[in-house]
Amino acid sequence: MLRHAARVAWKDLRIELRSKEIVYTMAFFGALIVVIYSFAFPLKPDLVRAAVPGMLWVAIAFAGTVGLGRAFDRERENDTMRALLLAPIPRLSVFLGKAMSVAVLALAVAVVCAPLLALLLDAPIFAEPGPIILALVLGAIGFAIVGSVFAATLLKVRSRDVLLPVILYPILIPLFVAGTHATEALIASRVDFDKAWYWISFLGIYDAAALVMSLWVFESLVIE
Amino acid sequence: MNKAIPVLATLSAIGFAACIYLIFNYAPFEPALLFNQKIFYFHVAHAFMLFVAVTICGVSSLIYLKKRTPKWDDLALATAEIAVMFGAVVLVTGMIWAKAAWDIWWTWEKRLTMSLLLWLTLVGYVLVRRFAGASADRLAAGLAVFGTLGIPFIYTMVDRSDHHPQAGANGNVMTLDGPMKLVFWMSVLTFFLWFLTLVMMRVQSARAEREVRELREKGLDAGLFT
Amino acid sequence: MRSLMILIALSIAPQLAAAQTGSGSAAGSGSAAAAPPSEPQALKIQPPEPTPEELRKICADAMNKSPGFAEDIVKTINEDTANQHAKAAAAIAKNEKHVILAYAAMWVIAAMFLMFLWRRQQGLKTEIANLKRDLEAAAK
Repeated sequence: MLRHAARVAWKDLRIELRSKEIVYTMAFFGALIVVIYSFAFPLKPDLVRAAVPGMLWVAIAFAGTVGLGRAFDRERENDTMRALLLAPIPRLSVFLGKAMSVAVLALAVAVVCAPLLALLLDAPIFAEPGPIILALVLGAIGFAIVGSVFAATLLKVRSRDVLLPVILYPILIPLFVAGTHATEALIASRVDFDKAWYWISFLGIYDAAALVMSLWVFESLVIE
Repeated sequence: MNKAIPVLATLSAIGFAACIYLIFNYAPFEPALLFNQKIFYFHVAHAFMLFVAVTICGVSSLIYLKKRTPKWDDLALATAEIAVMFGAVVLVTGMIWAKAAWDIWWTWEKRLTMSLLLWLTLVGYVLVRRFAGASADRLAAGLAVFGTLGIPFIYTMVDRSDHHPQAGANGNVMTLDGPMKLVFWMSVLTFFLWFLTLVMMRVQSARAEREVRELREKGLDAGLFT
Repeated sequence: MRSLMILIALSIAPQLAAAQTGSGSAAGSGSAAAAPPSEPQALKIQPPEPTPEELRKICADAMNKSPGFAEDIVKTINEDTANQHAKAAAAIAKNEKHVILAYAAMWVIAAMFLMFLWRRQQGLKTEIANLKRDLEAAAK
């Protein structure tokens, strides 16, 4: 099943690589959010630096949601969702494949926003590269899993653009807050590894719970 | 269920009266938190009911998703709306209490934050139900399921966040003693009865609406209406 | 260096203690704090602190000496007590107001919900009436 999922993911990513439509717009949107943040907060360096972890994850949240919506819109526009569901691969593979590609897109946003934040706001985001990359990866995975479930369910709904955030954000708050705490622990002047690993394992457990629940209810949700 | 509603309603009414009497005449005056502490008796009772409602909504939504029997959907919808109401009471009375006790309207204190997050999830449920069209029941059920799944995560997250200073003691329930404990659990019981009354009424209403809808569809299918 | 700090602390501490008892002799030993740290022998011997009985005698003598002093003290105490009573009453009044507000909020929200239920009921009644009417129209 994972092989099929990987194939679905690869299909998505290949399409994306060809046009790069989503990844460019998502990344640019993320960058714009960071720039807006730089203006939104008063120019006291400590205040702004304290807000950096939150900025990073909020940028991922917003840009990620936009890209998620776009990724599934593409399926809807070309009516390929039905083809995917009719294909002789288990439905869960379709879901996992889409989730994987969305995770890659979300990571793309992080890859753009994090260095930009480090640059514009002088925040030592990559002081501890290993843990922070792990935190971002886990966050992207969790976001992708939950996001894909609901984006797939919202495929044929009329006000899906506004309903997607309405549904996703309350569910994803623990994820984003955990990511923020982990980032905060890792960019502090005295890095707090205990705190960072605590929140990273929180992210991991959240991802696992989301994955299990999604695998369990995905079919019931998406199929009429 | 028809017969239970008037009984429960009467019991809750009696419970209200008894509670008010007990709160103001029997429960001792709390020296640290003064008179405001009287708010806590039903603020916390409502918070308990909020959690009960959210949990029932989540479990009911999960069962509905798996089985697609309409009665679970009715229950989920009813408990969601009632959770929104109880949540509103928790938040408003919490804010009034905070203003009275510490002179601030809001504090990101553990329990208030958690109630706010749960309340927002359930408000989302109600909105999705209204505006998502044909597949609203599935979507809202999914939201409820994932939202309820997140409760332990939200709790851990709020517990471990050391961002915001905890504004003062809130009357820890477990350390209550004697008459206060009695009054407190009396009010919890009363509001539980009230909660049950409301849930049953709303479930009946939802069921009736659904039956009317189905009847109309049956009529349309049978070509009865022009 | 550390012993120097201890010595300086020892010289300052009794002055603080003396300042608390309010005796005028503390002012004299203030100069010891201004001594440069390189002269540890700037320690002065502090006068012994007055006992409580002596303090009472000093106080009583002062009170008896000036005629209005005793009345002043009584007046201040009375004013203070009155202020505290007023403050406590205001606090209780404010608390009462908030408790009433909170209970009122609960009732208002409950009433709003009941209104909501009632509105749905009315909608249901209209639906049923429409259905009935359509059925009768179709049955003709």
